[in-house]
Amino acid sequence: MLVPRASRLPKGTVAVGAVALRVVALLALFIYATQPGIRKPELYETAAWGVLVLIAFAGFGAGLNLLVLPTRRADFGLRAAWGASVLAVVGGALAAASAFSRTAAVVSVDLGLVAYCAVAIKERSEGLRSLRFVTRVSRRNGLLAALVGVVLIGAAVHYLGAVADPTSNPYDDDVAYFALVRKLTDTGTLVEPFSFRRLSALGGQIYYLALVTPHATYRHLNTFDRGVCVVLLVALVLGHRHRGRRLPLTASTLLLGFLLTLPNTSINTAAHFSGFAFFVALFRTLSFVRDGDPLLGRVLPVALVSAATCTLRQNYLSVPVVMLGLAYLYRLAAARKKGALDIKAELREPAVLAGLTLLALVPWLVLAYRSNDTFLFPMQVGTYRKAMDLQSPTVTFPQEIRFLFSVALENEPIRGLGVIALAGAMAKDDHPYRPLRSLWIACAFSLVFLSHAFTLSDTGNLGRYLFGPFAGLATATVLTIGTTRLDRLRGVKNRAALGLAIVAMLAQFTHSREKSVKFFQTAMRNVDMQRRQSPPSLETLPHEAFMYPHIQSFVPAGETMAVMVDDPYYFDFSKNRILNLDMPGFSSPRPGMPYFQGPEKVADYFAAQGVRYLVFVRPEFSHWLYQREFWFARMFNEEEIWRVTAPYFVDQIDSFTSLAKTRKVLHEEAGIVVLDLAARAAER
Amino acid sequence: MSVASRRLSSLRIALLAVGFAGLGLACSKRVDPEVAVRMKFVEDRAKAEDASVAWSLTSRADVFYDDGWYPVEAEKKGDIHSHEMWRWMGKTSIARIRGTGKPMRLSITGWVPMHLFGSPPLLTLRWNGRRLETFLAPPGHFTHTISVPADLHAEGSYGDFMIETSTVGHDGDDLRDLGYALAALDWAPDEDAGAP
Repeated sequence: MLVPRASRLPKGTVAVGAVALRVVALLALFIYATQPGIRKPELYETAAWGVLVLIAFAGFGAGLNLLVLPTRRADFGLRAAWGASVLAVVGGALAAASAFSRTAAVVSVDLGLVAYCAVAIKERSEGLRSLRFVTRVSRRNGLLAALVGVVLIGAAVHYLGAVADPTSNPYDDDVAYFALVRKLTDTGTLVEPFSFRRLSALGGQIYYLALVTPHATYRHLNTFDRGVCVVLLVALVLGHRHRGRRLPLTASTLLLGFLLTLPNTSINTAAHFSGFAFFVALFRTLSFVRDGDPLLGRVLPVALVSAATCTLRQNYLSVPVVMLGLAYLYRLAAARKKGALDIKAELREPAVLAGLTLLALVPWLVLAYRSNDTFLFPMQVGTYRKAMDLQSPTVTFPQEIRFLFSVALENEPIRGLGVIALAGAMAKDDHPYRPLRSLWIACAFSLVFLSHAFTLSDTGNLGRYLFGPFAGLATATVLTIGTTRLDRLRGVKNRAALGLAIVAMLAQFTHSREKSVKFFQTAMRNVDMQRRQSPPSLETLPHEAFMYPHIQSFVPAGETMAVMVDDPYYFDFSKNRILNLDMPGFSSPRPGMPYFQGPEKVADYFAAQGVRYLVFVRPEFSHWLYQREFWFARMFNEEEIWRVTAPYFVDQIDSFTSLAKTRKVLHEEAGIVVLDLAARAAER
Repeated sequence: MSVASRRLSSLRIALLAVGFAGLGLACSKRVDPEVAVRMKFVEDRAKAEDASVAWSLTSRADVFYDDGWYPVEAEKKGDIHSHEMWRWMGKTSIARIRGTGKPMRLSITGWVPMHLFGSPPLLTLRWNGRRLETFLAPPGHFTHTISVPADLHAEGSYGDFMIETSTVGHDGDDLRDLGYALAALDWAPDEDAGAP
């Protein structure tokens, strides 16, 4: 039996000492990350800043916790998710008012850290309790504690590996996402009417990436999604409780092992692990609130997390909507069963929730309208080109069903998704909101909806788009089963659910083993390489960081320029109004960019849009996206989506090349041409 | 039934109605006129830049290579301008062809891998399951043309053109079932239809 050892110091003194240690450690980390006088490799600076961003999230979340649920203390993970959601709303408001900046990002994080310290001091005895829990468990079961330690080291390697991962996707990050981050920090807003990537998400992920940029260069932007969000996930799993019961450590270890060894199918800095973390947070928030809580405490955290989730990716939108709608229908049904149905009273809470969620989303919706003439793409198409239909005209209903099943059952990276989904359907969900069941149905709806709306896509890409909700569902399933008391798992169904979840996770280990080993080896190699790099200076910057500003200097300051280049994020977006033509064809302001009508129509269109200067890379010089021969071949590709997209690329490249013959070339460097569309080229 | 329960039932019906209306809207398809312009652009560029063969073997507005076809191959891998291109099929293949409501002529050019069979296979051509013709495949490259009457295909709707072969074979290490290699498919109005 465990007998508590008498402490030699009074409890209060130990608590003060522990909190003082935490605050001092945080201050030291802050000074290390932010003081340029301390020379350090970029890796360490970004890694430290990423940790500070996460703690700042927790600071805002703690503030929200004390404000709306003063009698109940949420764990670190939940608070961090709530705080990140609060910041998403603030960020949206700033961007909608063109008031975001690098300083705003720094101040946001600083304020969050102050809030964290203030709450830590206020709750000093709670911190001590957590410390005691860890000590008690370590004493009771050393082997298990060691196993948990190994998993946590795995999480740390994951985090550092993400910070050190220098890869970016030239088709997505280099031409679009990085440019959007740069636009947000340089101009304070996200107005980009020609950008398909801007149109296809509300912008929450870009805002989070911008929070990391004060102490991270673009080659370290994987820090947020693959690093900060993975640590957030670990915290969300470890902090979960249901009816006061934690997930047993064996189950936590198994689940964390499962999560940390899932093959990374993310191919860019768009929402992937962030979606995963926010769906787990949504499930956990809905599980956390209970009937006795004040109305605002019940709805505000749920509304904020839902809104933040919606801003990450457009295809996430349907999941919180359906999930929360169902949660309240379940509650309504339960009240009806009890015979205590008062519709007015029952509808008040979902109505307030819907109103608050919408209110939190308003800045992002306004911003979307400012940028792309749509409040909610794809419900309202805005600047999207209708001819770029993402549904195949020849696909038959059975083919759609076949496609849907292949997305669900051949899912990457969660190979056992079908088994876990079965476990989820069988698991006992006794919370009044039925968060697991609601999430399950919402995921199924999202799968059907996306498979139908995007028949031109393939199973791999749709699996990637649905990774967030699906991985969230898998985690929610294990959290629900794991926190149900074994002696209450009566009947075959519940025991089978437990068995299926364990089998699916173990099977996943077998499937992921090789990729995980490779991932951890690569992560360690990257960390080792990055830690030996010189501290950031002008000498460590890439050549493009000088070349692009030089090219830009040929366009008069303040003038509007349209750009189609490989790395537009090296331009200074505060000097000119820059319109990034990231994916030809998809998005352009009304009446729409003319295609297949020749270069003069294009020049006329730009003139009507107030664009005098055009900067583009010649196809024979483009590193990646704007190579004509690549797109010419894609016009005859097996995948229909490329046959739809490629003609627009070929036509736009041809039009710009023609304009370079008829319009005045102001400058040309490394194949990048600066054209004055208002001036004709001199006769040769 | 209590008032509250009746209200709940009405709410359910309203939700279902909204759901079905949304689904209906999501399912409705209207092809944008620019799609035809885009298709014409691709055809013109293919002709101008020596990629007509690739164009003819790629799914397009009026012909969609569906189940049963392997990807397009060229004599020189990846060469989109090659004049020697084909796509293999196994035992059966389907091409979804857009109807015109007028008498049409359908020509297929290709070959069967006779060296793998030893005897000529029987090829059957069907339209929406209806057998149009069966013939013994001749050796070497051949073109076979059939008439497709107007009553078989309504304007704008897609019909299934199926090629079936009686025999498939395996070539060396290639594990695919190889039955027939298509080098060109032509779908054009039948000028002779109605002539005495």
